Parts: sequence; structure tokens; C-alpha cells
Amino acid sequence: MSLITPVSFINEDGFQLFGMLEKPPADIDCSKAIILLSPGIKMRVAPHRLYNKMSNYYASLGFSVLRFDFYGLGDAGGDVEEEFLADLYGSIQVGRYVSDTLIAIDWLSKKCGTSDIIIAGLCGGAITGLLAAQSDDRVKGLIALGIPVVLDSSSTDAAKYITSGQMDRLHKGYIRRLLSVKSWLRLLTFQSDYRIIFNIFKNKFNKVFSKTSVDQSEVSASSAAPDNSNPLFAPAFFNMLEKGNRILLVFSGTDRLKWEFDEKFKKRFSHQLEKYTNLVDEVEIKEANHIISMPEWQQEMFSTSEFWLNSNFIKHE
Amino acid sequence: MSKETPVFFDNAGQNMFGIFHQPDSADFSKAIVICHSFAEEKLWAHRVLVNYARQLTDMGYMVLRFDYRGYGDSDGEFSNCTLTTYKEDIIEAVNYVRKSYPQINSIGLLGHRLGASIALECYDDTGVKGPLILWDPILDGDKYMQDFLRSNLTTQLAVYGEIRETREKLVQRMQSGDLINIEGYDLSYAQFESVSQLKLNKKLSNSDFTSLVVQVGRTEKTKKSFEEFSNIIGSDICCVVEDPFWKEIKRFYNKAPNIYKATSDWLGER
Repeated sequence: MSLITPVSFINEDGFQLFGMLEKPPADIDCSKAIILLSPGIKMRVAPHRLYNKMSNYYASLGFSVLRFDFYGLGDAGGDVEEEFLADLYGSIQVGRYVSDTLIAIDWLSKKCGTSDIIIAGLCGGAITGLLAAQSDDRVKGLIALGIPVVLDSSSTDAAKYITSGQMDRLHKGYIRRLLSVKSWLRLLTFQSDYRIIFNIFKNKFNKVFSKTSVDQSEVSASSAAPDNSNPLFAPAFFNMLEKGNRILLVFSGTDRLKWEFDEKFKKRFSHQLEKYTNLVDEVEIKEANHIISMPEWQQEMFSTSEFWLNSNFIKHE
Repeated sequence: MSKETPVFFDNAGQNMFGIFHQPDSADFSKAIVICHSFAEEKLWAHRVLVNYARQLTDMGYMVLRFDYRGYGDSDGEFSNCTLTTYKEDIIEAVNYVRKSYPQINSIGLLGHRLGASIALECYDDTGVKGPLILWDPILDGDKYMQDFLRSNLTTQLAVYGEIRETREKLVQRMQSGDLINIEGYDLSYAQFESVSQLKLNKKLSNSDFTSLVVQVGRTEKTKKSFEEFSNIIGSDICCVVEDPFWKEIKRFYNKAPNIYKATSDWLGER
């Protein structure tokens, strides 16, 4: 059975960060370590205690696993000043918690006597791990669950930057609800998002009647992103790959982040990505939602990451 | 900042996780045990409770925040929780405060949402005599569980594009022994049934206790149900305006100033 210990360490600004260190059973070498980075504001346990399950699973594979709270969240010291969640998410996407992550890497390296760290995280945790890996060569791998490639902000019009994959899904949803009295009531009482509805049907109209279309894959990788893409994402992604580190991308089938990744990163950088196909693994869990709530989706994520860890980080005699 | 110490304590062979918030002054004699809300509401509201625990230590209270079994960093599975286990956990948390700090002569309970309802339900059994503070308690467990089931329907719509199982069908499945997954939480019929039967309308046998009900809503107007409830249990009532920070909303809530003020003012008068 693994052993869980509450731990704490101090970040650069003097705030106390709390966490849980789960060590594998005593008879297993525990010099391999994973850090789980908190998603959004859901602290070290993550939605529905997903990180407790992940920590337990990875410990059973022989990894020491640390999950901890970033400053201002969970049980940690400090405060978050942002008024809106979208702005807090946006600040995470540009590296708000990179410094806390580097402190955690230091702490865990000393504790476990290892210089090889794998970072794993859902959403905000994944992008924080990617950005932190640029500054720390001890990070050898990243398990990114639903990694965001865009910047959230309370002042951004989400409808303006919606992906075509998401539009298709929303379009189907609106068509299905044409006969729903409740939906019409929402529409007529101004509760619906008219900008999104307008954009969806405008997009459909254009698709049907427009003779010319732009192939997104032909957009130059060096061109400035004409939307809400995170400008830090691609440099950090390629920095990891240039160092020979491995990335496992796990996306949920019904999550808008999957379409955003495809349309706002993968297509745009398809040529550069070709060089690194041996370092990047991408898996889609069909039908899963953003928080991977169903046990069968979690099981698929576990077995995928176990295979990836086994293939790349566990030395077989 | 006051001293904050993470602890594990035993409850029937399972570890429960908590954090003690200790005031700066060494001669503290009052404590408050914080009882968190249900399922994902706990995570959304977490920071509001953390920051209020810190505020209470400034007022001289020792505070214990803890996770029920099946929640947070405590042992156990959510699927094994029932109203009974929640009550046992609160009682054990109170006992742990008594054992850890024998100099404390007054222990109170502060509960949020379902945590408030359970705190009221087990107040007599804990043997505490300190203040009972109920932040937006769930008055009708049946309605609350029906709303919770609705989240499963929302997930079905998002994933399959249609509702394949109605609430009635979900309840039938639970009755036959299946667990129903709601936002990642496996709900058993035992938990569903025990929470559904919760009706906050009994008067406590301990007539000495003092309590405060904080109604949280869009206006300061007292809802009839809350007025009746506070009359039945003989508590003070205060209505404050705050957003429902225990679910996903646009604002990021790490503090709830109106709830804090109402509670601190009330405590200050005692």
C-alpha cells in the first residue's frame, strides 16, 4: 500500500504551499517522480478527486507523486486578486504558477533524490507544466490532459473565436432543440447567447454558399495568430521537443479544447510537428467531458498514461 | 498569518484530513469546527471557507477545517457516504479538537449548505455548547437531491446529445444497486435516500444553544422558508447578498464579505 504524507514548502513570495506526497510501497524504488499540477481553482484534489485517483495509480506504478496547492488557492497562503474566473484562468495560461511549480520541482527532487521529473496536469495544470518545462531541464515528460491553447479573459468575446469543430457541435445541438419549448422560451426571454447563434448560422451559410475557403493547414506557422491563441504555447511546446522530452496529450472527445488544439495549433504548425512525431503521443477519449467524470473514461486515461510511462520512463531489466 | 497545521486523525480505522488554524495568542479557549458542503460545491466554495477560518483566528478562535470521509484528502469513497457517516465525521472532528486542545471550553460549528444542515442535525450528538452558524443551509433534502440528479441529465445531453435516462430511471437504477455518476461523484441509493429524507424542521433538545442562519441570495429579503425554519429552531437570521459561489459562476469568489460580516458581527455580540 502507498503512503500519503501531508507536506508543505514556501514559495518565492514567502507563502506556504500545502500538498500531499504519495510514495509507492516500500519495496519499490521511488526515485521516479511525478508532480500533479492543480487545474483552475480546484486545488490539489482536482474535480471529483481525480488527482487522488491519479496519484494512487501512479504510486502503484512505482512513482512518488506530489500534488500541491498554488498560492492563493486550496489551502495555500496568499491571495488571488482577479475578480473573474476567466481572468484568473488567463493569468494561469501565461505562467502565473510557473514559479510555484519550479519550487515544487526543487523540493521533490531533493526529497526523492531524483533529477527526472514528469509533470502531469488537467487544463490549467497542463499549460503550467508546459511553461515550467522551458525553465527546468529536470522536467523530462508531460502528461497533458485537456491542455488549453487559447487565452481566457473576461473581456474576450468567446463567440468571436469559436472553432469550426465546436460550431458544428453547437449547430447540431440548436437544430435538435428546435422543437423544445424550453429552448424557445430561453431564446425569447433573452437568455440565449445571440452572438454565438448568429455566428453558427452565419458560418453554416458561408460553408454552403461560399465557393472559396481557406485551408487552415496552409496558414503559415510564423504568422501571427489571428485570434485568441496563447502566444506562449507554441514556443514552449517546441522547446520541450527540441530538448528531446516527451509529451502525452490526452483530449476528451466532447471538449472544445480538443478542437482548439487541432485548429489553432496542430494545423498551423503541422510542418514543424512532423519532425517530432516520435516524441508526441496524442490520444482522444471518445465522448469524455473536460473533467473526465466517468470511471470508464478515467480508466482509459490511466491505461494510456501507464503505457506511455512504461514505454518511456520505466527501465525494464 | 496564524499557524496552520495539516493533520490526519482516525475515524473508525480511516484517516480524516484536516487543517488546524491556530490564533496567535496562546491562551485561546474557543474553537469552531467548519463543516463543508456537498460534492463539487465543496471545491468551488473551498477558498471562502479557508479565508473565513483565517478571519476567525484573528478573532481568537481555534478553527478546524476537515474533509468528510470520501472527500478531499480523507480516506474513503464518496459512494460510501450517507447522512450518518457525515454526522459521525463531524462528531469525530469535534472529539479530535477536544483531545488536541483540552483548554478549549467552547466549541461551535459552522456549516455551509448541506454541511450546515448536517451540523444542525448532529449538534446535540456532538455535545458542544458553542455557537451554531448555518450558511445557506439546505432545508429540503429531497429537492436538493433532485437538483443534483439534474446534473447527470446535463452531462447526458452534452455527451450523447439526448437524455437517455430520466431521473426516475436513475433512481430505479440506484435502487437496484448501481451507482450513478454525477459530475464524477458516484452516488449510491443509500446516500441519495438519506439526504432526500432530510427536512430541517426539528427543534433541538439543547435549549441553551445560540445559532445564526445566514440566508444567501440576490436580495436581503427573507424567504418564507428560511423565516419558518429559523423560527422552528429558534435562531437568529440574517439575509445577505452574495453570488452562489458554491457553483461555477463568472466571478471568482475567494471571500464572501457580506457573509463574513454578518457572521463576525453576530459572534462579536456574544
